Amino acid sequence: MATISSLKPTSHEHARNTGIPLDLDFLEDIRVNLSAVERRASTLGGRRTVKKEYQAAWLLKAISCIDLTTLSGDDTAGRVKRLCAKARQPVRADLLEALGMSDRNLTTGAVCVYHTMVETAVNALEGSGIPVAAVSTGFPAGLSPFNLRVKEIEASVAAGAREIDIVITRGHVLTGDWHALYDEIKAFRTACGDAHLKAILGTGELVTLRNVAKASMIAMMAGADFIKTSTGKESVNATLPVTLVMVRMIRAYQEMTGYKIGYKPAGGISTAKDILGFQIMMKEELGRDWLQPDLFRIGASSLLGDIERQLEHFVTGRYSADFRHPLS
Amino acid sequence: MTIAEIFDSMSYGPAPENADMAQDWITAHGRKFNLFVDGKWQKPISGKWFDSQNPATGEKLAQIAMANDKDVATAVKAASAAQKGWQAIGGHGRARHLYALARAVQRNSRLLCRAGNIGQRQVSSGNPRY
Repeated sequence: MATISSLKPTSHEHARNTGIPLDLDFLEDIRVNLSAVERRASTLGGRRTVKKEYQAAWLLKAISCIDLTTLSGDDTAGRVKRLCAKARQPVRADLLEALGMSDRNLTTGAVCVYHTMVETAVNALEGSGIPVAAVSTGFPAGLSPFNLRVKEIEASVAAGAREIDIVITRGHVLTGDWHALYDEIKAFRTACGDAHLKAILGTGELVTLRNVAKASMIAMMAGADFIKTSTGKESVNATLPVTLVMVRMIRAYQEMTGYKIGYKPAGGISTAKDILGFQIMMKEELGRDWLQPDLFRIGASSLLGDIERQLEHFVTGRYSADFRHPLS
Repeated sequence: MTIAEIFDSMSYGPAPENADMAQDWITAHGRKFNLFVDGKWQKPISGKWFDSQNPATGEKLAQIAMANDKDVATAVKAASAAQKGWQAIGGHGRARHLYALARAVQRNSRLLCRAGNIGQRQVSSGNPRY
């Protein structure tokens, strides 16, 4: 079934971030109130909730924001093709029918793969409107030679990737080398051209929330279109406290420049309940716009399966076994 | 709203407090509560009960015993008598009782929260942390 996505997630309706010169004074003034962050993150779930048909609708929206991902050493063309088929048709047709969403061309937000798989994915998604995102710049550690990291971006763009997820050099954050970090991301952004850049900060390795805040701000100043929490390979990936810090920086950057930057949590989000928490935080902190795939993406693979089970439960009142939903 | 409409608006929707479990518990007690004195439920010496109402609807929830000075005196006497034994079990013994009490409150926190709230003027999210 050739679903043509109506999402258009890579073409933002708002102006694209062109970046601004590095503002060291602003960075110096950044402070994070840790106990306030933890309290807000932990109580938000008790303040807001979505149930029943509202929960079903929110979960469908979450599906439209998923960057369906496979980044394993044993990836093959066959696996990528299967993933792309799932991206085109993420929910079983009969469930979509029961939810009244058959005519909405629901697809995932993107498919995310390593460079070598970009061409396969682009071909498998042809005509669907779903963009291919490539992880790049020596993902996940990001410590390959700089010139090769830039070339990697150029190669993925040439192969048809419309989005590039780069990794920053975490060492620059840990040593406070803000200029080096800024210049690096700026160079990556230039190499992207029309392709959109998501800057992976590796928040689990940045140690303090103040570092997370600074790295977020620098990435945006350097021209990132999205800031992303993690590679998914760290021991701690996306959490609500880290999310809160990053979205507050997004808000600050918007106040400074008028540009809207997207946010992508990645790694560790495997249940539908988890993702609702993130969506609620986006709506509460940044507003309705940040629930759409042009400003909010989710780096996930098994999450889709859990959402499908929740949707089936909503429709039929029973939980299904995994094998009742097409493999992704 | 249809699911497609909610998908577009992403509104929160209602999440109403469900008081059924509290109502069931009150019914199970015959909608009448006596005084708990000397380890037993006892009728009040005053012979009087007052009505507890749901202020949102005016609905009568239950009758609750109204203690008078004789009831208070009886309770104080029972407590004084119990104090000797309570002291005798020592700090560790008392701690075990208090811990068990705390665990019982924790286990029943949702019920306590909702039973407490339907008789008050507050709207609750049902979150037992508050």
